[in-house]
Amino acid sequence: MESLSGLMYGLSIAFQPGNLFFCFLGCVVGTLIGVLPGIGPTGTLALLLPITFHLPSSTAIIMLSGIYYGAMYGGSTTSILVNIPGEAASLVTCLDGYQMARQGRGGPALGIAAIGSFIAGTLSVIALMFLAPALASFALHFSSPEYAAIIIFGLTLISFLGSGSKLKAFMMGGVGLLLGTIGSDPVESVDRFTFGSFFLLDGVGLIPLIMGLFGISEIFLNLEEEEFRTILKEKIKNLFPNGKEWLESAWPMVRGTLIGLFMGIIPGGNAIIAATMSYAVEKRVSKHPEKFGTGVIEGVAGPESANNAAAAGSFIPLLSLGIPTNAVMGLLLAALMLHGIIPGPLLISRHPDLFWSVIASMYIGNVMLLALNLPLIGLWVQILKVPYAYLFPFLFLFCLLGSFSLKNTIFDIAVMIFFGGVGFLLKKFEYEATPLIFAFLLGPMFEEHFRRSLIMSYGGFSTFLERPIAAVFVLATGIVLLSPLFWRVKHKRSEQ
Amino acid sequence: MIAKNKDFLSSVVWGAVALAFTWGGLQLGVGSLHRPGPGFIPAMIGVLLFLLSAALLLITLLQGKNEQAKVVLWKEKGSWKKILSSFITLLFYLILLNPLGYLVTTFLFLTYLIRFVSGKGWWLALGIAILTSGASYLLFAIGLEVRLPQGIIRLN
Repeated sequence: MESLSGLMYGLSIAFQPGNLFFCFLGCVVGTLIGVLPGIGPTGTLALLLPITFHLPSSTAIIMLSGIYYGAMYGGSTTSILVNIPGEAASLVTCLDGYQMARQGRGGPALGIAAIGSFIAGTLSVIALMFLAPALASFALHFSSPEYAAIIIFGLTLISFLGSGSKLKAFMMGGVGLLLGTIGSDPVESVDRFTFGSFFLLDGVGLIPLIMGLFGISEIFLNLEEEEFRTILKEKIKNLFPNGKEWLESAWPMVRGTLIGLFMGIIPGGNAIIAATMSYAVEKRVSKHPEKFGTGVIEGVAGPESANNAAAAGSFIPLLSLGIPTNAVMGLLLAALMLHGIIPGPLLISRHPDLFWSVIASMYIGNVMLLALNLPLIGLWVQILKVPYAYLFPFLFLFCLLGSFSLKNTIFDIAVMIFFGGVGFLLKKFEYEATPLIFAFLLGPMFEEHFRRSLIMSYGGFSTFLERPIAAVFVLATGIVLLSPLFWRVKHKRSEQ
Repeated sequence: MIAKNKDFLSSVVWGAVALAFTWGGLQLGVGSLHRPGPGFIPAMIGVLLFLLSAALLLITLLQGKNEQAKVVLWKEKGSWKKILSSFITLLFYLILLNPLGYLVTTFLFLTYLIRFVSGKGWWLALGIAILTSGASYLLFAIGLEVRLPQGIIRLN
């Protein structure tokens, strides 16, 4: 079967010493930032992206991917032991995980989190292995109207699934689209909004923008916090759950994996939503829902599986269609473009070495992470004790170095600092940066396809509705936009 | 006062941004429906953003006085000092990087942050600064072959 031979090919590349090393490095860094609160995968990827420029493309993606799914493993450690999520997707793990730890069952909680993550991660990579090539060959039938429709659907969904005000999320999308127009017009190569600046000819740099919005602003926000960390004094005994706990965790892990996979694939879905949904589902189907929040292992097994499955699942649309479905995938898209790889349905056929070696290393990475997270938990707990006061100057330096090293120009540093300030203000004024980044990334793609569609159809908007695949996405967009009205009507009826 | 309301301020700002891009798009040329020009998307999205900002403004005005939505930039009293000084330090890095070079600028940057923002002692600050500047230079300039500004210390 094609997938298996591809996997063999990928394993032969992934096992090369250089790739093994960087896979391991990615997993270690990922676990580290997962454990440390205040730094998440998005910010870290933004920081390390420019450095990977100097590595071969497969190696770079292998390492960056390792950081992402590694963070999903590490995040559970602080959630369970300190009641502070190491990164957002582990927030729900605090609810029951910390309670379990307080009852002396911290070991099994950590164990189930790691094992659930491993099972979910591995199953999702299998799904990725089969679904991505299938989706890619299907997508070869796509033309500009389909792409335009999918991107609009994706952007709408991303704005919709945000946690804050939807109006503001759409506004951020608008701002991102506008920012994306700065630079060279994708269809006619006319300079737009460059004000004669040489540096703006290529548009606002993606990496400085991301590093500013997610890196620098995050550091500013963290500088405000006073950190009160009381790490549980109880020794962590026995990491393995007992038989009863295994049984209780089995179905939650399966459900969590499926939820995570689905949420990873759809635009706007991400590990955070996946974990939250899994918790809600487990509570719903449980025979003892009132016990949730007191330390039930289902509340750890489900969400921890879900966030790993979502992480792996989100690779599917990126590698098969070239469409990122969350901020981290957006950064990987940037990384691919940095290495001159054009994402899209042809990626798998044009760069099979990249695709299959990334998949193979994800298998390897999941094994490495299981080994890193079970025995080495004591080490990670020690690292939690490093004060932020020492950490943040290094983080700043990383950002500065990273943004400078891309094109050797201080203009990029200026962009980064500017957007660092913007990002800080956005948080304070209750706007989310994610729709902005998405719209910025996808905007030029959207514009190109949209204008081409209109040119091809001689100005007929009906082309978006006449072509079946495009029509499906246009309708889906309409349904999403109109859904609040639907809920309002339903609510009114139930009140009567 | 309404002007202190978060959403009021931000909706005005974004509305202005939207108008700017719409105007710019119109200048570039919107083209026609069957041949959309470079200004098509900027103008269209600009109008959209303007409408959304206007909607936000309207909602805010209709809500009236809302104490919770006042602009609160700082979580605690005094935390603004750390953020502002970090921000200014970053700007100084930007300005001094080329003239003074990577090593000197990084050294000054780290020393300042650790000594004055983190509040640690001089020895610690200088020590960490020297070690980090040196190590990072080795790692990036020599190990990864990134071209860093030489400035006043010429090492090549």
